[in-house]
This record gives sequence, C-alpha cells and structure tokens, in this order.
Amino acid sequence: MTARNAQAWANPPRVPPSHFVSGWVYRDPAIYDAEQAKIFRRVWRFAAHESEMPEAGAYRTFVHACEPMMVVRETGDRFAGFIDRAGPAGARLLPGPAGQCRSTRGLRPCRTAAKWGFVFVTLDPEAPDLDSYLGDALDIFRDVFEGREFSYEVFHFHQAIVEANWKAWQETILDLYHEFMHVVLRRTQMPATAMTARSLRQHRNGHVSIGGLRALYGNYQAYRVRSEGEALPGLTPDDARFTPLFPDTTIIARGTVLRVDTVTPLGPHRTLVESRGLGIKGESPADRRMRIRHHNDYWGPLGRNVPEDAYAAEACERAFGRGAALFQTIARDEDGRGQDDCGLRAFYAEWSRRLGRPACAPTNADAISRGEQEGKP
Amino acid sequence: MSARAAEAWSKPPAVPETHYVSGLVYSDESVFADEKRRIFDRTWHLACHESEVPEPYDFRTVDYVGTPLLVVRGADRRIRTFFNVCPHRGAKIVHELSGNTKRFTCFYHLWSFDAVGACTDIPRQEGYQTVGLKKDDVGLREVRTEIHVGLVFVNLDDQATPLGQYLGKALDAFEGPMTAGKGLEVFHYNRAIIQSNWKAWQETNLDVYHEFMHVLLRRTQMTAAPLEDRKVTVHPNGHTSIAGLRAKYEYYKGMQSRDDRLALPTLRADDFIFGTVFPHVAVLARGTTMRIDVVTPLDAHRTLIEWRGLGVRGDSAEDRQARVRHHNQYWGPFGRNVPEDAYAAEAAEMGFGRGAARFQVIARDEGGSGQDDGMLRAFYGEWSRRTGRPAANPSNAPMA
Repeated sequence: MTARNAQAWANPPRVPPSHFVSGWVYRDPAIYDAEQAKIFRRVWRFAAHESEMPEAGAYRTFVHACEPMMVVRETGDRFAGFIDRAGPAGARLLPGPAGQCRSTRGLRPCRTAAKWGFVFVTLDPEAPDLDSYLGDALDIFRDVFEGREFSYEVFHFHQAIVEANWKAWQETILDLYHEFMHVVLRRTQMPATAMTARSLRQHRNGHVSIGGLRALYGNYQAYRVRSEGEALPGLTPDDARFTPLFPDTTIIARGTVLRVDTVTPLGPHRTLVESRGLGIKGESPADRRMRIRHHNDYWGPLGRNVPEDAYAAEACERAFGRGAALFQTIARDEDGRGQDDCGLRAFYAEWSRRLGRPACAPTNADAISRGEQEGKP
Repeated sequence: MSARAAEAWSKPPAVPETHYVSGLVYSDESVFADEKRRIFDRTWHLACHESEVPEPYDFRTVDYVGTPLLVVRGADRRIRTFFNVCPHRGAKIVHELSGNTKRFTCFYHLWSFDAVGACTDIPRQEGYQTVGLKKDDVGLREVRTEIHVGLVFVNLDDQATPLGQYLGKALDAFEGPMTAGKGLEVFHYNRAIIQSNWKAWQETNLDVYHEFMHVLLRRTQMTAAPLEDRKVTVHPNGHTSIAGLRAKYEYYKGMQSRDDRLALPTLRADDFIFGTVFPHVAVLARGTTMRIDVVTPLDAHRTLIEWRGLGVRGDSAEDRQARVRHHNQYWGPFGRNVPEDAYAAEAAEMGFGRGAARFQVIARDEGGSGQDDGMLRAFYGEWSRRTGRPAANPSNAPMA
C-alpha cells in the first residue's frame, strides 16, 4: 500500500491504543473545557522563581486555569498565591507582571509551596502536597540544587503566543525523536554519545525525566566548547538533562545554564509559552555574560532551537486544528533509551486518567473503558 | 410605506421564497458548519491550473477550508493530490507555495514521501520494531483529482460523482479558449483575505445587476450591446454561465480597443463570457485574457480569494505584455474592477455580519437576459438542496 484513500486514512494506526493519539484532543472545545476543570484546576503549577520576588511584598502575576493569579513573598522564604480578583466585579488589583504589593486583602488565597526556589500553586484544596505530587521526578537535579551555599536567579524571561494547542508545545519537550528537526541538535547532541546511554524515566503523576544526554558544542560552527570551570555544580559542561512535569512545566539543564518553560492554554488553538533562564546569583559579570550567551545560543527568542519548536507546534495545528490529520503515532519503543516515545505515552496516560477519556478515542464513549484499560503504560 | 419600524424590518420580503435570502446564511455558525460538511467536503474544488505543475515532480500547495493539500505531478506525468499532512505526528509537511522535488520530507522528524504518496524513509526505523509499524502502513492520504480544460479539481469525498458528470456543460463555452492550440498558462496569481462571508464574494460573480457599481462597466459594458443579447444559462448542480456580453474598451479614457489578433481561440477581442462552478469558482474570459477566482472560506466572516490570470502558452513577449495589461486593467490588484467587488462584499458583511440587515432580495426576472438574478437563484437553490436548509429561512429544521 502506498497512498491511502479517505476510509483508510480514517482507520486508527495499527498499534496498541496507548501508542497513538486522536486529533480530537487538540480541537474539541469540550475537551479543552474538561482539561481546565480536571487537569489545570487540580495540579500543582510552577508560578515563579523566588528570585523574581526578591523582597517581602514583591509579587509576580501569571495566568493559570483561566484565572489571573499572583504569588507574593510574604516574609523570608514564605510565599503565598492568590487569585487576583477582588470585589463583586472581580477587578484585578495588580497593575503589571511584577512589583510591590501593598495588600492582598480581599483576594482568594490558594495553596502555595516551594521546592529549591521554585514556587508552585494549586487551586485544588484536596490536592496532595507538592512533594507528593512531584515524587522523585526532580531527582536528576538533586546535585544541582541541594546543599549549595549559593542560590539561583532568573536572568531571562520571555513570552510568546503560539497558534497551536498547548499539548503540541509540550510534546516538543517530551519527544526526543524530533531532535532530527533541530540543526543544532543533529550536530551537537546526536553524535555526542550513544543512544543507549540515554535514560527516560516515567514517574508518578505523569512526570518524566531524561538524562544521559551530552553535547559536543564545538561541532556547531560559531559555538565554543564549554569548559569545566563554566559548568554548574553537579553537572559536567556537556551535560543535558530535563524533567517535564505534568502537565505544563519543564526544568532543563544544559551544563552551564538552566531553563524553565511553562505552557499556558489560552484556548484550544492558542498557547502562551513562557521561558526563564537561570544562572547563579552574585556571579561575576563575565560569568553572567557567558551564561546568557550559552542560554541564548539554544533557547533565546532568536536562538537556534526554540523557534523551530514553535514551527513544529504550529505545523501540527494546521493539520489537527481543522481535522485534516486524524491521529498521531507515539509508538517508538527503545526500552526507555534513545528516542523512545515513552515520555509522550506517560503524558497521555496521565492525561487520559485525569480526563476519564482515552487519548486515542477521547470522544467515543464506547471506547473509554477499553482505552483506559489498554492505555496504561 | 416609507421607512420601517423593527417589526416591519424583520418581515421577509413580499416576493417568492426562492427570490430572497436570509441574512443568517452569512452569520450563523451552525450554517457555516453545515456548509463545510455538506458542501465543501463533498464538491469539486479547483486546486490549480495544470500549467502550475508543468513538469514531473512539480508541486503546488493549497489550503482548502482548513485542509492543507499538496498537488504533485508524478514521473508518469499524472497529477495527484494528497493531504499535506505527515501521518506520523500530524505536522504540515510542505510549507512552500510551489517547487520541484522527488522527495517530500517532513521537517519535524524527517519522514519522507514520494510523488505517489508512499512513505520512503523513516529515520531510525528500528524504534518501531516492537509494534511492527512499517513504511507501507503510513502512506499519505490521497485525494481524488481530475482535470477539465486544464483545470485541476480535487474532491475530499471518495464517493463523489466524477468531475465530468458534476460539471455537465457548465464550462463548455471555455473549451475552445482554454484548450485549442497550445492551451493556456497562468501568468498571474495573487490572493487576499477579505472580511466577509465567502458567499458575498461569490455573489459578485453571480450578480449581473451590480455592473452599475463598476465605473468601468458602466462605460465599457452597458453601452456595448443591448441587454437583450445577454443569455444566462443555469446548469445542473448549481453552476451558471452567461454569454452575449461585449465591451467597448475605448470608451474608458486611457484604454484602447483590443486587437482581434490577440483574441483567445474561438473568441472575439470584445467578447466577455463568464461562468461559475458551484460553490466557489468563477471563470471569466475577456476576449484576450482570462481570470479564474477561487473563493475559500476561512470562517463565517473571513474569506480567502485567489485570482489567476491566464494567457496563451508560448505567447511572444509583446503579446504577453498586452495580455497582462488587459488583465490588470480590470482584474489586477490595482485594477479598476476587482477592488470594487471587495468593497461590495465587505459592505454586505457590515450589514449582515452582526444582524443589521435581515434579508437580501434576488428577485430580478428578465427572462434569463439583461440583469436577471437567475444565476443568484440557481446558486441558492443548490445551496439549499445541499445544506438541507432553505436559504430564505436557514434556521428552519433541516429539510428531509
């Protein structure tokens, strides 16, 4: 068989139900609403890094589960999150993305907790505590963050709106196979180490961690090899590791610099992507310049990697958004190594569990129970 | 009665139901959803002219009501069309408008496909051994493709009637101009998005009466031949054509009469014929040159219009220059005619889009001649049949 007619195109891929996803997950407004209620209003969501609120009263705003939110440093290491709506008209109190907050009186508080300087909130009073929710998903960063005499700080923040469903962006992080798309990864990452040296781990609650990646920065013209002295504690300069936390946050380390991504749905077809770069607080101007350069080479708005992910997410939207593409296949199995799709499968298994709909047939009531049985990783 | 109060304004016009159209056909989202499903997913759509893919491995991409399409001429010279969608993770594969390649590679994961839609390469395919996924399982989705008088039509419905049967005799008048001798080729392509429902544009191609709007037509067309010479023909399936129009180009300052030497085969230089293919194609021949419109809804209130200009394949440079000038005088983006149609369509949107206008009247009857509204009625007759909603009252329960 070569090309397929309409009927063949409409047949689900001949792989297990856990190994493909229906295009409806990207475009059904009812699914979008269910995601807000059953996922975003229930999970812990990264709000801001402590360095963005350096003093008592400093706040940072963000959007979560369609709510205008803020998080404020109360005293010392205590942070509090609120829904930024007050009064009968629900007016927003805070004028900008960051500043000093005089009072939070009248705002509805939400549960707030911090780990390693990353401040999280949840709108669900019944949610398990943050440590239980994260489990051991961030263990690959333990050496980077724990037992350090210094702290990290955000030196870079940018936002972009991509014309795609939020999951299409998150997939670019969960999907190792797409490194073929990135010129810079084809040059620096794929030849750096054996595929079998990589390790993809699935954690509870849909989180994933990926380690064992390396980069030969000297392989890309205009990049320089990163030296041992430039590396962050706990990392070698050629190290790359990352943890996509379900559903919307990713912490990424690339030897000398850190990035945190957050994905916020604005509608079934529009997504706000926020990206932070982190370095060491109090480091020398020369070290900071080095870290900014390393960050921007890959991850800046004009960097070599991140804009390509936006093309990918929007290219998927063009096919899924109006129903031309009907399924995507996430069927690579390399035993948790190489370019295994198990990270994508872990994401969609958790998505299916929380929504009560299998991602392979999310609008088909008859298939729900079958898919839930078969869809587990 | 002079001006009308709200109640009177809401009453349907006092003409037969076939002779007016409810404003809901332009603004109701459920009507638009039905149009997509019952009209655009089932009718033949003009993708391009065959001259746009003249050589083996030439391709042209098209967006058809949200479905990205890829038109390719194969090594066997046959033109095929596929969804421009990677079966792996759903990404749009080809992003260029046109080009030539033997291999279409999706930029996301580098899966490759050939000109007959077969998957030819999956990088590190061993990752699929466990589930047994093979290249043979993941070909592109092929779309039915047929050609008539050089026009490449596609249909998303594999069960649709063949193109020849669908068109009937609707394009017969164009067979001579488009296929005699060396045939035609596209020399002009432009597109624009207008802020109106798609039907408001197509109406400008179905409505002879609105020639009053066009300064150029008032000067060159209305005075050139008696209105009784015109003949409107309504074809099965909602297609229409009109003959008997002429133009005296020299009546407009700055234009000159056209030389019969440049006339397209079987036409006179002052001839003007046009036809529409339901739902959204118009073919116009103005003696020495041709224009083809394709109207594609983006949503209920935004429409993509694509215009093509055609001349004779193998024209001398001088003749081509003359044809381009003739085309652009009326139909270029800065021509004297087409921009006025955009004003008309957008003005109608301003009335209908939010419900201020309630009905439009298409009740002119001149015995199929003059400025008869017969073409508009034919369009809405077919529209009603296909959507199952009478255009005069589309919010009624669908017809059986």
